[in-house]
Amino acid sequence: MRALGGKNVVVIGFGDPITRAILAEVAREGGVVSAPPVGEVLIVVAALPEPGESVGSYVARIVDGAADAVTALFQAAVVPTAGSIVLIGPPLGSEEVAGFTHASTATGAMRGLSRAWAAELGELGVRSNYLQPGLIATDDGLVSGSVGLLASPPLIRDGGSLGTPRDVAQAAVFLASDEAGYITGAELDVDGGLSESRSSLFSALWAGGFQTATFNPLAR
Amino acid sequence: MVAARGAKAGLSGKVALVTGAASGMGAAVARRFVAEGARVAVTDVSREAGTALAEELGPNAIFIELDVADGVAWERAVQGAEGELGPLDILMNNAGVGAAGYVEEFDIDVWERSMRVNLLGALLGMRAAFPSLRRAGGGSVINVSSLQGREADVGLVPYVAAKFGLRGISKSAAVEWGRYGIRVNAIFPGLTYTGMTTTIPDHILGRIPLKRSDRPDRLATADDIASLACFLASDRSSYISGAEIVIDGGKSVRFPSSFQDYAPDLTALGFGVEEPAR
Repeated sequence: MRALGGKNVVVIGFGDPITRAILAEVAREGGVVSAPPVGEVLIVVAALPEPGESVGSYVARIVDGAADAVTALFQAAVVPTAGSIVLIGPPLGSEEVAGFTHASTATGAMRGLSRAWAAELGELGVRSNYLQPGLIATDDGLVSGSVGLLASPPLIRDGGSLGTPRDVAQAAVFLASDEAGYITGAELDVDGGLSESRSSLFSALWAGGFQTATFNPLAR
Repeated sequence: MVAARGAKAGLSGKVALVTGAASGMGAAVARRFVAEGARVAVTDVSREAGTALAEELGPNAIFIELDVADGVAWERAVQGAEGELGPLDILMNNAGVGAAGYVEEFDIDVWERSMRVNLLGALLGMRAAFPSLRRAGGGSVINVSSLQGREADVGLVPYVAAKFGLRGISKSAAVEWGRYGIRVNAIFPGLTYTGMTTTIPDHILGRIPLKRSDRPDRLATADDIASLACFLASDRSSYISGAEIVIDGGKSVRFPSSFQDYAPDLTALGFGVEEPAR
């Protein structure tokens, strides 16, 4: 049996590579991609800001979009025996990079929304989790323009150190599936360790020959 | 559920070492790993239970006696596992002990035992496994912390300090080892049903938001933990490193955790120590 075998899955996204990868992964894992409001699994991918859009209207658009989808599911009385919600924030939303105000603010709002739903909907057997993508490379350059702004994530894999839309999709499907049946109100970074290393100072110091009285990393 | 996921063989060809694997969460993880196609070194201080589990699991499991606080024993365990099964792809630092104590009154032996088993044990394990993980061409390390590794709790300072420490060593390894393709993640289980947690009063269970369809109470099962471990061990999580994953049915979302509520019966909960006199 596959991870989403037989489940109706509503994906709210836009025509971006992450949404496309999620649709493919849902199908691969046996889920039935459904139109709202029929579904016991809801996956919401945050849209990116439109040119010139204010931070407030961007955040409202994302939050209201997710909340409307959940409301529709409940009005249709499809979810309330058991279900799962996965909110996927904008890539790099937790990095607080200059110029990423929209993403950083939306990330905070989506985390709060997910935790509030976990608290409220648990009684109905409905789980809610937040997924934070890091640097995700896409063939249409979704974040490729920003790669140079940041140090690479610590994790290096065959084929490069950036994440792929499928990495995000596989994590989303895991959170959505019964495999994650006891996980709710959680936040999962899919970022190759990026968020652990953003304030990394010592690797540069060590590389520059810095040493302490007791530890000389160059001797390793 | 084990058989259902087993069909996928998500860990086919991988070699894993699991500590504290003779019972509870560790045993559930070892069972799942084998069901998913891995070869598993079951390690524990309990030879009898560990041997029995390895025999039950068949040719894809071996038992190695291991006290995680013993650095020399770690070297032998990794050598033994690699010699019989091959280089390690997966290390799960699961072994742990309960340890109660108040800030103004604790037993130094309890503190040191908690630090040695719950914290140093995982660090020694990562140190010992590192060459083997490198020979495997990279891998996945899963360190088992606790809800008390993210939030302080009453009457548990030796445990809280060690489990907080586990976060630090996990993140340190994640940033140091990413260049070798070794992922390191920490998980934070809430109350888990392992046979020692049957005395939890209803008003505590009622503080866990998630209502389950498969159990009368709201506790995690060892199988829930095994599912998460399996995901983190598999290539499906190959871009996830340095993550902290809470698996608690939402308990840490809705209410501050309050171990004080069960303090009268810490022994029954498996913490092995009487409530400190106060």
